[in-house]
Amino acid sequence: MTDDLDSLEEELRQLVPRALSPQAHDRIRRELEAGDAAPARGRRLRWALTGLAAAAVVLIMIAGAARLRNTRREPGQTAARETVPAPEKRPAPLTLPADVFEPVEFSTVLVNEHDEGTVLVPDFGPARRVRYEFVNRVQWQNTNRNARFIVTTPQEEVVLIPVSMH
Amino acid sequence: MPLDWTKLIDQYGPALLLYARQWTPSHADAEEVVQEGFVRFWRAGGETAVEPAPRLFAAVRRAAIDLARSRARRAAREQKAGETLYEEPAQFERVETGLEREERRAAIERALGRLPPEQREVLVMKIWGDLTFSQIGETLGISPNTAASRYRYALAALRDTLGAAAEPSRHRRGTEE
Repeated sequence: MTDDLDSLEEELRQLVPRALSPQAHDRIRRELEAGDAAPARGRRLRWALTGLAAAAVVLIMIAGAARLRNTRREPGQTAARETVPAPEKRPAPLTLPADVFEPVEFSTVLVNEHDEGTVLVPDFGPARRVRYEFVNRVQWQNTNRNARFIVTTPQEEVVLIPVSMH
Repeated sequence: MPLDWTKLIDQYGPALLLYARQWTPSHADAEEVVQEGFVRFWRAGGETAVEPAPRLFAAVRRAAIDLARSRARRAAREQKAGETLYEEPAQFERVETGLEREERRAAIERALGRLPPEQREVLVMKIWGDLTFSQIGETLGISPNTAASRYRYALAALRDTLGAAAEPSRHRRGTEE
């Protein structure tokens, strides 16, 4: 860079960003330390979704396991097993804890940002419309089985930024 | 071992607050955005990252965008807030060592507010967040080269706006008086 830009850069570095107010600092710290960071509504929704997803995964796994056993069974074996059940050889009932899968990683990546220019919005006035495209990725993991799956969902946000017209 | 949140907030809070101010109309809103950003960072398990700064900036950015979006829904109020955008002073600590330096600080704040948002956020992340261009690119979803270009454009635009930035000696002399 040129000398004047270097000196400007150095001058900017001398400026100290304003600190958080003590109240905000304390609020953030307490919220994080309490481990109760999520807003109540969001947290409830998140855990509800977590529970639903875990239940769905368990059902899918049970159905898949049952289907696998059926497809591997030979016709003769079926008859033999049915006529001479051996209690000690009977497969143990499939029991899975309800919380077997847990979200272990969440990320949101901005993949595209498009400035669509100035638009006139009724009851709003002139505004710059910027479209953001995100990809949300949640990774679930079953630590007992070392199994995992990833849910990826697109998300689009349109932001209107008021502009003044001169 | 539990993370020392106080240390993390002390270390990154001011830069994140400044970053948030580039998106929000007031200091109070910026603090709210920083708080929400820390919460999102925590929820995403960001504290386990070796280098938390990029994730913190990304979380604050998302929080700021969400706040702006919710505001946009309230059309009339949003328009009113937009009129005061970047007019609230003191994004930086006040300079006590001379009137000229304090005026210069205020001028820089105003010039910063006039930068295009995409340049301004790169400048804030680079100068006060101490992020590398690679980390900035990762946070914004752009290449490091693009981040570097925006940074240079931002500096050049600031220089042109300030004018006096090309005269650091005069500026220094003013502080000694």
